[in-house]
Amino acid sequence: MNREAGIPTAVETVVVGAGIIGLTTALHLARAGREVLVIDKAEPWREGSAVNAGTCALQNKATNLLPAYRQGLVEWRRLAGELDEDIGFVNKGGIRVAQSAEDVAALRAGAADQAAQGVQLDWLDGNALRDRAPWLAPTVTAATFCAEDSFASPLMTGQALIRGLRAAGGGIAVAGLTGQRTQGGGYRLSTAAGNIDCRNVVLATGAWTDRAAAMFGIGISVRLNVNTLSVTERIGQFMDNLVVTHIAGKFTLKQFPNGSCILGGGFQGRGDKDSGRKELDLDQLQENIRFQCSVVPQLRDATLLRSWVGFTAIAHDQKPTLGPMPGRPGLFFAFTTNAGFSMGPYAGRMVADAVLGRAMPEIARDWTPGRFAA
Amino acid sequence: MTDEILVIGAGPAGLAAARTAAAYGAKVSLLDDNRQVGGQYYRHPASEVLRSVRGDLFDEAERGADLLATTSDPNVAHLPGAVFYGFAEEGIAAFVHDDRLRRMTPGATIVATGATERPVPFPGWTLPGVMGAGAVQNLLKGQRTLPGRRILVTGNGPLTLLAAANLVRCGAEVVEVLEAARNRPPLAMLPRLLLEPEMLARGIAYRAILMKHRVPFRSRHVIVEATGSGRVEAATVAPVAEDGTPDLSRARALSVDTVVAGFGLIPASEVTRSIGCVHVHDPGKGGWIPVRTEDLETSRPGIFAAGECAGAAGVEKALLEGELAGLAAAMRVGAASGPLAEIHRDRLRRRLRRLMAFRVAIEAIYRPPGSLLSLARDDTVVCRCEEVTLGEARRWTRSGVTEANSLKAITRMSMGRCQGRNCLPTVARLIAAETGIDVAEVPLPRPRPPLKPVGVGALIGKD
Repeated sequence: MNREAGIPTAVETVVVGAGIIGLTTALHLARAGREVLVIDKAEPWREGSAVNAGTCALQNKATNLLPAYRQGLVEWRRLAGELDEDIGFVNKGGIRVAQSAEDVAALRAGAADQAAQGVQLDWLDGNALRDRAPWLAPTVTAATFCAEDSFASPLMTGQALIRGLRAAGGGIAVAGLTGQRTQGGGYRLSTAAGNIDCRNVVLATGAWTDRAAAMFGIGISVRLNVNTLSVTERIGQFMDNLVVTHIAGKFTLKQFPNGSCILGGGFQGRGDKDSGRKELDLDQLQENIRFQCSVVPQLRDATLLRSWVGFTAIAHDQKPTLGPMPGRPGLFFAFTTNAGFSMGPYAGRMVADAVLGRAMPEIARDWTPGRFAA
Repeated sequence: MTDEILVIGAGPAGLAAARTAAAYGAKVSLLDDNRQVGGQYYRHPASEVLRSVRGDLFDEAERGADLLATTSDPNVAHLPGAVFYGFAEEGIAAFVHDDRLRRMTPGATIVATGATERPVPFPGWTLPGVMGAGAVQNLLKGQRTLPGRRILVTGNGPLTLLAAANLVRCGAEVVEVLEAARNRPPLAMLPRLLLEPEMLARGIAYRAILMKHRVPFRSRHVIVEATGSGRVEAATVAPVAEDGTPDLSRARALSVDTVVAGFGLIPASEVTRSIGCVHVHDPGKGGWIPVRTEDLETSRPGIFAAGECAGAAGVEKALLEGELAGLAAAMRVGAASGPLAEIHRDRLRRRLRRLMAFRVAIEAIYRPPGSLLSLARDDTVVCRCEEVTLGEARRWTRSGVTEANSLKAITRMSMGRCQGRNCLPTVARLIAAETGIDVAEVPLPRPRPPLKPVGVGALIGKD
């Protein structure tokens, strides 16, 4: 554990959840000179942000949220420059592949939608595709290239953020939230490590957002995803550090600069967020790996080091919930729904701004927690 | 659930378990990642000619021929070259065999995965020419080959003494044998030693062999450093103090081409740790071991653990535990029952109790001084897969990162192909030393499947 000498009894802002959104929110607040403490039920950076595949891409995202994901990439680049340590951010672009005739039609339609949002895409097929990515299976007949697609190292990012936050004067403590009551114009939070009085609370609680919201009497429903991931042993660089996604979905693949490949895509394991129990589903794992090998055949010759599952959550209306809760001064939500890693740093920026009293951007009007007001 | 019994590991414990369960009529699947059965203890050359080389010395396979024949028991399905994948779903065990991922739902599982050598990093321990005592035993038993010409043997525990005696008997020039412990039985332990006179006599015989060949045996001595360009050319040795630090003022240099560094064995408890069985830290048994009932069942019903993986304490204990676990598993699936099975079980329990009382004395004789962590210097690599030095790891523990999981995330220690087998014991000792807590209070990351690397192609089948 990263030891703290107990937790403070009063702090201006408490951020609940030490993932990408919670830590970036806190980092901005600390850098603005505000007093901030991040609390989590366990060691910081253990759940979704830590165990995801590190994809920060545009091509595999829902079109309606594209502008926010683009801002997410802007913030990722900024983080890479502003933090003292390397976060393993790599921007070599990404390709989205199509195999069947339906795939190709869908890729074409999707590309048109994305282009309408201003995303620059190159259409690749035939020899151009083979030249660009000779490691793709012959069954891949078309692809689109997006120069903005990127990835970051979840491991390196977490540690850089934790130390960056501490250096900026922010605190982090292991203190699971168990309840709250309003108290003198703010909140008294009860946690597993004692009570904390604060003026602002930010719920950056990812898959546990429904549980945290319920403690404040607010009903939000989210669906739990238990995503399967695998990592191979280091092999020689062969995919130019591109992020590979598939128009049919359920596919992310990239080779990190150290040579290991991360196979993701969201095939489902089993898990329960209240007990914390998670386990692989072997059929899903095999389907996951079979699909990956059908696109990049030489993965077959790699050695699988390990597989695991991690939680993400999808809002029932598939929209983020970000910003101040109307009628509840000092209560903020910081939940992006799915793909929290890609959009996370932007969500952190917006919510920190909101805590600092600035208005939420126009883009976030639809995402107000007010839609869940009782 | 079926009435089949899965045995993971075909060493002494696994073979004894499979043979016993099969003798009671249970159907057994016996898997091991080696092609050859017998584990490390019964290792032998495939060729008859090679087997006859010093066959008088390495007769384990001959003496265990009966046990090794377990694989031809009609009730036993032997799956050589099978890599256990994990218990991925409730009650379903998965393993890669014949380039395919296979599943079974056993009525009982016996984990008998043995032990690995305790990693004790010292400067030069990664040089070619440095090897473990277990590795030397494998080389002698399996290849009938000597590891070098001028050999220093250093370490802690009975296996290291045995390896030294075997090297001498095979004609190697062993320049010195260093035992880090005081190596003297406390008086109160003498009655316990007499519980197993035969084993006691064997230990004394190994020392006698060294004496006969005038090989100096020094207790409370240890290696300080191995040096050489490209491979071992020399070693520095010194007396060791109670806290495990070598007394460098009395260091000596030895010209050797091989260093056998055997600091004992640690239980290979990855399988039971990966499925969340409750474990305790028992330094005398090599580290983390699963908590078990008197019939060797872990905290997960139907999962038994037998032999070295549940406490490194030698082959006799592994054989007895294997037999007991095989019997208990057979009772669990309904193959064994009645007064005869109970008499058998009670007899095994009694013999195990006596053997473990003897082992307490052996543990006392070989209790190592301190943690031996101080043998490593700041520039000594402690995680060989990710090439992390002690200095780098210590920089983080000193800055407040005192949890193995966080240290793993920052430094990548234990994320390589060995899944931490070669570095987590060091990580735990480091964290304990830096924070003043006991090693038993340092929780280790849970191993993730596959417990050993497998080919991506094998996971999804051939074609």
